[in-house]
Amino acid sequence: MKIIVCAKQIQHTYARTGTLPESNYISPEDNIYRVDPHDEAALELALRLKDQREDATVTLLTLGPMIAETEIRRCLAAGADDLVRVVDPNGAPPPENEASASDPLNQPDPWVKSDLIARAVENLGGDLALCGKASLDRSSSQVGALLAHRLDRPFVSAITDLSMDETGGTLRVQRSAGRGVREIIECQLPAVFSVDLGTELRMPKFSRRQWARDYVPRQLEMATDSDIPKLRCTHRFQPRPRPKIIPAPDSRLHAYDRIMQLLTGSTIEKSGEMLTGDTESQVAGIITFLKANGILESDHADT
Amino acid sequence: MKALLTSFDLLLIASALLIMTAGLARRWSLWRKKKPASASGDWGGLADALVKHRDILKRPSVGGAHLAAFWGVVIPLIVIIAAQFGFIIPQAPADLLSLVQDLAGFALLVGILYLMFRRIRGADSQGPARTLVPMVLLLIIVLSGFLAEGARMSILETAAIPWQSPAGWLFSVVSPSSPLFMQMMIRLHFFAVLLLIVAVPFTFMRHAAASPLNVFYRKRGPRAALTLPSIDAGQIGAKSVEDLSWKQMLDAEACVACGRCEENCPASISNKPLSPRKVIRNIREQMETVAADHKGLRNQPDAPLLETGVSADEMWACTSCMACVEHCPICVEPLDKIIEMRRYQVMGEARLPAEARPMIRDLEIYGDTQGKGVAHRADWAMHQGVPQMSQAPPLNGSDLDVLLWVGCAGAFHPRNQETSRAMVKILSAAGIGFAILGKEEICCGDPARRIGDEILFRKLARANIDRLNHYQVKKIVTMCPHCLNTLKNEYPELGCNLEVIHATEMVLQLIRDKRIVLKYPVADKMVVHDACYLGRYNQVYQQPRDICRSVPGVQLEEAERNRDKGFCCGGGGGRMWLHENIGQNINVVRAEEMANSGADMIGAACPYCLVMLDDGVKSLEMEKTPKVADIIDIVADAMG
Ligand code: SF4
Ligand code: SF4
Repeated sequence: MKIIVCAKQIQHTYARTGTLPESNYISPEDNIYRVDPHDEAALELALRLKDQREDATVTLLTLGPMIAETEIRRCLAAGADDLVRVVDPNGAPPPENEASASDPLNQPDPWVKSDLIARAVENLGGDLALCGKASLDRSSSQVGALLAHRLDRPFVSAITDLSMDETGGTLRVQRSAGRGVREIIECQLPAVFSVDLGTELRMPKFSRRQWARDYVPRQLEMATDSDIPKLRCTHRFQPRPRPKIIPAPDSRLHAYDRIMQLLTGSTIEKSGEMLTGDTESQVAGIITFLKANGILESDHADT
Repeated sequence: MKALLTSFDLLLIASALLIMTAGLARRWSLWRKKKPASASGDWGGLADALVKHRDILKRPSVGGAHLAAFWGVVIPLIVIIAAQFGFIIPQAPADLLSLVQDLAGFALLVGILYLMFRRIRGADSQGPARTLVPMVLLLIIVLSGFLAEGARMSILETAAIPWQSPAGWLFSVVSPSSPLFMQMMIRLHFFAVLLLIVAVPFTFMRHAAASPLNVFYRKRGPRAALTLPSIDAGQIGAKSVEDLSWKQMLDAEACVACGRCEENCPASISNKPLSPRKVIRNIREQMETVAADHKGLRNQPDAPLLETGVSADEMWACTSCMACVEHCPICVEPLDKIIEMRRYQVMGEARLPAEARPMIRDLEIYGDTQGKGVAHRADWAMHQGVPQMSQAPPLNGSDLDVLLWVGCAGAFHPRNQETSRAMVKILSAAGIGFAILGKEEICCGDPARRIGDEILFRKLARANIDRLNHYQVKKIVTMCPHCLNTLKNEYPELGCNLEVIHATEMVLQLIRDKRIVLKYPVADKMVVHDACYLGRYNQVYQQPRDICRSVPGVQLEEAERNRDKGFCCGGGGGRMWLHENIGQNINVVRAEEMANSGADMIGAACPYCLVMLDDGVKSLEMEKTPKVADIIDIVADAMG
């Protein structure tokens, strides 16, 4: 069984300590280059399957420039059998096209990416394709679904566990359905799954690290121009840095209530008085309330 | 002893020596041809250890007994060998020699009886095996010697107590005045000596050969600094004993199982499965097994692995506090073997306690133990006007006295950030030209290294060294003893030689030079906790104490275990990031001990100790628990 794990090398911006507005207040050291943690989780699930089944092989597939080379080699060292890079045969920095040129992240859209990956998976003969549920940089969460669509395969999103039955025909995945709900889903091969966070990639052994250090990634030539980009991201706004205000607990309260206030996120329950009766008396009630609280000062209002 | 030896006797002696040599050679083949280690002989240390028993006497009673027994063997041995050459010496020195001989024999008798009593009383069931045989032999030797002498004297029937031979006279009271008896005793003496010689390689007496050798080749230079393995040559720690260097094996061979390491080991004391003595014993046992395997004596296809002898719980319990190394009388270092085993587990097998993995991963991608990233590394210094190396105005060598190395704890942990700011306050007040690397500093690599990830350590160290070289830094001061140890003792092997001092050393100097004034009292009674990496690793014991003394109104107490006997806080060696599930918590044990000293403030000089002890103090069930503060904070507070 051949498992393909899509690994995206990302530039992860974890801080905004820069001073220049043009750079969105991001300085170079605010970025790290790494393999997306969702994809690392996918790789770990694949490796666990490989531990169970001797016939399983795991291939890492990556698009785009090798911006996180040490990290992707670390993934390789963790236990993958080979690493395949999709490159453009025309020599352009892969994969580059009209849309990606104007894309703020300099990436092709999910439609194009899924096309490239789908062709690569077919080319490599992958039975099971795993990718991350989303990526930390773009977070479109589309590639997995589109990949399944293009390959015409069943798709389960956000899986957190993966195993295979004895016969080798059926996969059993656990899926997080949000808010702590879990589902167990059985699925036939070939299939496409996207993987949620929660599984940590194993540490590579030294012997594998050395092998991975000298490994020459396989290149898969794949032209992109046949596929016309369907989506285009025109702007990408960084969040404005906002000071966080944590209200001080109401000092008139007892210690217990103050602690409860902090624990409940300092939402203060609103209490009030419901005015009943006919319209006249309700208006009178409002005016009395406003006067009593010093919001209305003169009596002129009711003349 | 007056009887000259016959040629038959000489033959016997020669064969005894031959058996001994052959036996020793066989033992030595266990380690002799193994992996090289850089070690050079140290005559001075050897002489100190042998003549003065410097380290052995750290425990006076048993050390004294050993000293007595040692000289009780060596002096008569020299005298008797010399006597065989039949020198003619005048009466007076000969009498004196006889007296010395007599007293030495007596010392041996007393020493051996004491040691035997200790062994038989069996307080220490883990004690060295096969010690009784050589002890009984020695006892026979000394008793038969004295009885022979006594018999000689009762034959001569001297009336007065001869001053040359008081012990012999004592024995003459019980020994019959028969020449036959005397001859028998002399033969017994002679054969017992032969047996003892033969027994050296096969019994505990082996230590007489191996231990001095170990002292001779003891590690010098910075103590307990780990040596750099050549990773590319496949040195990724110890899977089996065969991965150890010959020096490390000699360590195991030399260990006399005295147990001093264990008695000072925080892991053993807090009931964890680790005992440094057991680690060393396991290594020796496995050396023997491996040797048997090579000879085909055993039918085991695989060499036994260290992991079968030393469990994961054991090797991960070590706090790398160095107490075992410090207290071993014969310079055995259990610590570096534990690290070698960790190296193999982490690098070779990628087996690491799950709790420590996020920390290692953070170091890999963010370069600090907290995973906050270099971008936030100077956050503690925000709006403090702390000069940074990279910022204008450029600091050149002349403006810059010292680089302040902050370390991960000082940069990110809220408690330790205070210490960093306090240090800035002190340095500014004293008018020192200093700067920090700010965002260009990353973890020094100590946590990775102690956990066994040498590859990561190197990556971090190289990056730091690049920065330090780039700015041509000459001198570094740091608040963290772990950084201190790494920068000062372990970076030189990577080609970075700088002057590195600890904050307490520098601050004390500033106080002495009156560049800062301590005006305000902060506590009445203080006690200083000796950080392992400051004290045992770098011999800074006095400075923290002197600083505390110069704070007005402070009375300094001492904890029960202090200075080189100081008890670890439990946070070193990567233990800061590991769970402590077995036995007592080391930090609580230490916190209780510190609190019992009656102090109302505990002064720590290490970010780990501060955090560990603070946690420990909080879980004490006491009416009034002491406060825990970093000594640098205390100084800053006292400055007002
Ligand atoms: S290692 Fe040293 S201190 Fe420990 S038992 Fe052996 S000889 Fe004694
Ligand atoms: S370094 Fe400390 S914790 Fe580790 S074995 Fe030695 S004494 Fe025990």
